[in-house]
Amino acid sequence: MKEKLKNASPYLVLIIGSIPFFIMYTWLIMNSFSKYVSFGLIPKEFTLENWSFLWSPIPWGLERTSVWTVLLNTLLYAGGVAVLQVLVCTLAAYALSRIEFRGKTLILGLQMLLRAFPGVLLLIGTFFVLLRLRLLYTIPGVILARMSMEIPYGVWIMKGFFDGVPWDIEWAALVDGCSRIQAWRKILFPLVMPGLLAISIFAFLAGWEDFVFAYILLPGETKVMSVLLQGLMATEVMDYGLLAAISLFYMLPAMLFFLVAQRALARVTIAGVRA
Amino acid sequence: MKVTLENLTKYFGKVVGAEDVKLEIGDGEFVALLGPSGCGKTTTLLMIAGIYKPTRGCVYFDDQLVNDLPPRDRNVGMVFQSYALYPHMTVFDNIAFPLKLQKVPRGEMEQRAQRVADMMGIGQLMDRKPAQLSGGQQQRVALARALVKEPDILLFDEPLSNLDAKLRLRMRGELKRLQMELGITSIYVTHDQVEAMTMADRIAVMNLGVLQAYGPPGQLYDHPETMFVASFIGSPPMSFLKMAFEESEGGFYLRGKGLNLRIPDEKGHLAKRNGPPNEVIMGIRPEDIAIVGEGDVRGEVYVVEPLGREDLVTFHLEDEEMRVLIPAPFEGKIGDVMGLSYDKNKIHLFDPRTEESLLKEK
Repeated sequence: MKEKLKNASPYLVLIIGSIPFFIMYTWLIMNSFSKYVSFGLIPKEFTLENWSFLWSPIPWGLERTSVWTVLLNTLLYAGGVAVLQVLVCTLAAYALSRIEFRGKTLILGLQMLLRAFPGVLLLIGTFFVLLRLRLLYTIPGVILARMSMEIPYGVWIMKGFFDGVPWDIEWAALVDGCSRIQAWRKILFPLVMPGLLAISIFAFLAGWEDFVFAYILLPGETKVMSVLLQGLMATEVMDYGLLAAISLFYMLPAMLFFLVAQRALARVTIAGVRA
Repeated sequence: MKVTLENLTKYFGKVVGAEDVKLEIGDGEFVALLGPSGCGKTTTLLMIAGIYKPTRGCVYFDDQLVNDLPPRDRNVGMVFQSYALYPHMTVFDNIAFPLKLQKVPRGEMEQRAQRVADMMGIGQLMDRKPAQLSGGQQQRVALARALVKEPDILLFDEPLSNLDAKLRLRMRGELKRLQMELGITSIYVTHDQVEAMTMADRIAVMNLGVLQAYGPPGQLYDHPETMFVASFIGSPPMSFLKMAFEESEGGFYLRGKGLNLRIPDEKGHLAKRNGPPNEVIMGIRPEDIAIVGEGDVRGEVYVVEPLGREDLVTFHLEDEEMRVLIPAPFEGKIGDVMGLSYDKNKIHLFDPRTEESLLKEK
C-alpha cells in the first residue's frame, strides 16, 4: 500500500498543482460559449453570440473594430520580430563564434548582463530613441524595439549552435570543393537549423504575447490583439463572454504555431547529431 | 604530384605556428610529419591544403605556386582526426559530396561512390547516417570521401588517433598498402613515432614550429641529428648521460658516472672535428646495452617492466637513469647491482649546448 502511495505521489502533486489551471481554462471555454455562467463554471446555455466578432465588427464606444484586421496586425508584428531576430542573431552569433576581434569578450559579457535586464525598464529610453529615429508610433518602430530586447537571448542560443559545429567540418567542406558561401549554405546552415527554429519560435511568441511595447509605442488606430483585449476590459460593463471568446481566439494561433514548430524542431534535432 | 615547401611560415598574431619549413616531397611518396602537440605539423598540413594562408614562404605543387589557390581548386583529399563527416547526410551523400560539387552526372557519381565504398569495405552502409556507424567505419567513410575525387595529394591529420589499439594496428597496415597501390603522394601528420616509422618513406620531425630532421626512418633512427630527434624516435627511448670528453693515450675517452669508456676512434675524430667538446651528452638505446659480469659500469636495478618478449629494466647510475632492454626473463630484482656493457658502435654523442649531434659527417 505504501509502495503504491509512493509511486502515485508525484502524480498526485502534479494533479493538485494543475487543478487551478484546469479550472481557469474551463472557465474560459465555458464563458466563451455562454452568455451567463453560474458559479463560474456551469453554463446556462450554449450560444455562439460571443463569437459574433468573427463575422461582424465589435461594437464598442464609437468605434467598430474588425478582429481580423487586429489579427493581421498581430501576425505582422510577431512575424516581423521573428524574422528580424533570426537575421540579426544569426549573423552576430556567427561572428562571435568564429571570428577573433577586439572587444569580443566585452560584447559577450554584455549579452549575459542584458539577458538579466528587464526590457520594460528601458521603455522610456526606447521611446526617445524611436522618436529621434522618426520611428515612433510606427509598426517597424515597435518591431525593432521589441526585437532588440530579445537579441541577447537569441545570440546566446545561436552562438551555442555555431560553437557546436567543429572547425574541421567547415574545413572538410572547403577541401571537398565548396566555396565559403557554399560551405555555409550546404553544411553550416542545416546544422544550425534547430537553433534558428528555436529562436524564431521564441521571438514570434514574444511578439505575439507582447502588450507593453505595443501599447506604449503604438497607440491609436493600429492595434494588436493584446491591446484590443485591454481596451475591452476598460469599459464599464465587462462582457465576460466576449472577453473569454476573444482570449481563446487570441490563444489559438500561437498554440497552433507552437505545435507545428515543435514537431519540426524535434525532427531536426534528432538528425543533427554530431559524427 | 611533387610537393615543395619553401621557408613556409605561419604566425598567429605573436604565436609561431610554423617557421621556415623547407621540405621536398616526391611524387607518390609517403611522408610523415612527426612531432609532439603544438610542434607545427598540423599547421603545415593546413597550409598545404590551402585552409591556412602562409604568413611567408611558398607551397609548390609540381612547379606551380599554389599559395593563392583556394582548397577547392587544389585537388587534395583530406582525412581529419575527427573524420569531419557531415552528420546530416547519409554515408552515400558524404562520399559523393565532392563529386556533387563538381557537378558530375548522377549515374557516374553513384558508380564512383559505390566503387570507392566497396574498396573501403563499407559498400553496404550507404544509407546510414554517420552517427549510426562505429569509429572504424566512420574513418573508412572519411577515407572514401577523400579518395572519390581521385586527388593528386592525400593529406592525413592523425586519422588513427581515435581508434582502439587493435584497429589502429590493422588500419596502419591497410593504409600503407592502399597508398602503395594507388601511388598517390601522401602527407601524414602524427605524434606517434611508431606510426611514422612503420608507414612513411621519409619522416619530417618537427618541434616548436621548426623542422628538426628529414629522412628515411632508418637514417633518423641510426643517425639522429639532434637530441630531440634521438629521444623522440625509438621506443623505449634513448638514455642520455652527461660525460667528460677526453683525448689521451692515443684514444678518445668518456669519463663520468663511474665510467671510463673508450669510444671508437672514428667517432672520436668526428666529435673532435665538430667540437671539440669538453663535455658531451652520450646517448645509447636500450637495445644496445647488455648485462655482463663486470661490464663498463655498474648500475643498480630501479624498476623492472615486463613487456612479454623483453623486459625493460631501468638502472640507476649514481643519479642518472639508464633503460636497458633484456630478453625475458630478467633474473634480477630491485636493488641488485649489475654490470652494464655498451655496444661501442652504437654510441651517440651530442653537444650539450646546441643539442646537436657531434657525429655529423658533413
